[in-house]
Amino acid sequence: MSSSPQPTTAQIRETLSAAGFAPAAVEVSASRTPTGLAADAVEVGVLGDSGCVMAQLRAGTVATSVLPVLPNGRCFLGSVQR
Amino acid sequence: MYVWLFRQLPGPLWLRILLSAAILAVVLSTLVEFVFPWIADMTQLTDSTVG
Amino acid sequence: MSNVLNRRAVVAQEDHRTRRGRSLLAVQVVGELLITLGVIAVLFVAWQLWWTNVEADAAQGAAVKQFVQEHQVPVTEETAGTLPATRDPAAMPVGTAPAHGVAIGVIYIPRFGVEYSQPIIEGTSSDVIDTLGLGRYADTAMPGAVGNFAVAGHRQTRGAVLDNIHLLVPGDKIYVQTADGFYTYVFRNQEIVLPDRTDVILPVPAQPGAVPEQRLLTMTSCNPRFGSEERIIAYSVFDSWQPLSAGPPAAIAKQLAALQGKG
Repeated sequence: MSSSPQPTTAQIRETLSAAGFAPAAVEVSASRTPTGLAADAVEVGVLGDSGCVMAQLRAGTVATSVLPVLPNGRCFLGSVQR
Repeated sequence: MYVWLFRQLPGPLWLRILLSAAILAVVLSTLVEFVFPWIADMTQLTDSTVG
Repeated sequence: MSNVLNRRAVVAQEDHRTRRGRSLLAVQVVGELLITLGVIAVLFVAWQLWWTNVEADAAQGAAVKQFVQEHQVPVTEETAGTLPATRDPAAMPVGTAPAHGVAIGVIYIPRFGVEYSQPIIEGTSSDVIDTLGLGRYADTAMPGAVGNFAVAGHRQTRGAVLDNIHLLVPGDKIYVQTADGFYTYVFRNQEIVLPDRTDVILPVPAQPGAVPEQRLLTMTSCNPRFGSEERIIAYSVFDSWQPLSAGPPAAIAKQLAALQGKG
């Protein structure tokens, strides 16, 4: 999916958007921390019919699971922006 | 300085070595029980709460 | 050996009487003091990174054992994991917050290791989280309650309780055992924020004023691992509950049996 070892949030959004996922249904966590460090892992949540597909990208590997959609219609808790 | 202190201790050599070890033990435990926790509280290096 | 010392003493005394001798003495003393300070600094780092872990591991292990053995749970091949856990909130008790420093329960996080368990104690002041494990933020929810059950734990030193918090994968189970039963939470997502973000422990994280509908578990720790410029926050959502009499969830049955077994 990406040539770099740890894709940035922007790259992931672009890739998913190009693959046909509506931007409003996709949530991606920050690839950089507030003080500029690289995040250990980037999480992606895609809103689907059967629930949220949650993926965690860490050092080239991906772990996925399907979790229930939250009551407010989103996949992530906290302040992760869409 | 430390050599001078060592010489101030009374008694034969073996006693001085024993006393030095005892003094060292007291100093170390004071550091571990009081000084280090106090420094750790001051520096907040390992704060893990929000707010 | 004493002859050498005596000869050195005579030479030193002769030196000290001259002005040059006195300056040299001052330099020597200052040098030795600086070296002493250096040694103390090294000892401080060693204390933080090694000794506090040793002390905390012992205290936390003892606290876990004490709680687990006070609230003995039947663990047999038959009961482990066979009785369905309930998601029905009406049947589920929620404990009341104890006094500061009192144990609320034990947390098991299989992702951190099959032997991982930590006490959950009321309060997040240093007297709690420096020695006793995870501390619950006062004014947040209790396990299983609607809202946000928020806890804090050290990343490094003091037992490194949440050192592996960054390894959690969405879908990982987190088990909280209290006197009222086993509450199972499922890890959802994490984020890294600045330390002043108290809104992450609100009933609805990062949404001040919102009315909570969910039962959440939020864990906070330092980030990066050896610093405290930021905080790493891990959010989990309540999944199911079972009473103590039903035995533990299958994933922690063996671990719990071992903890209860040792006298």
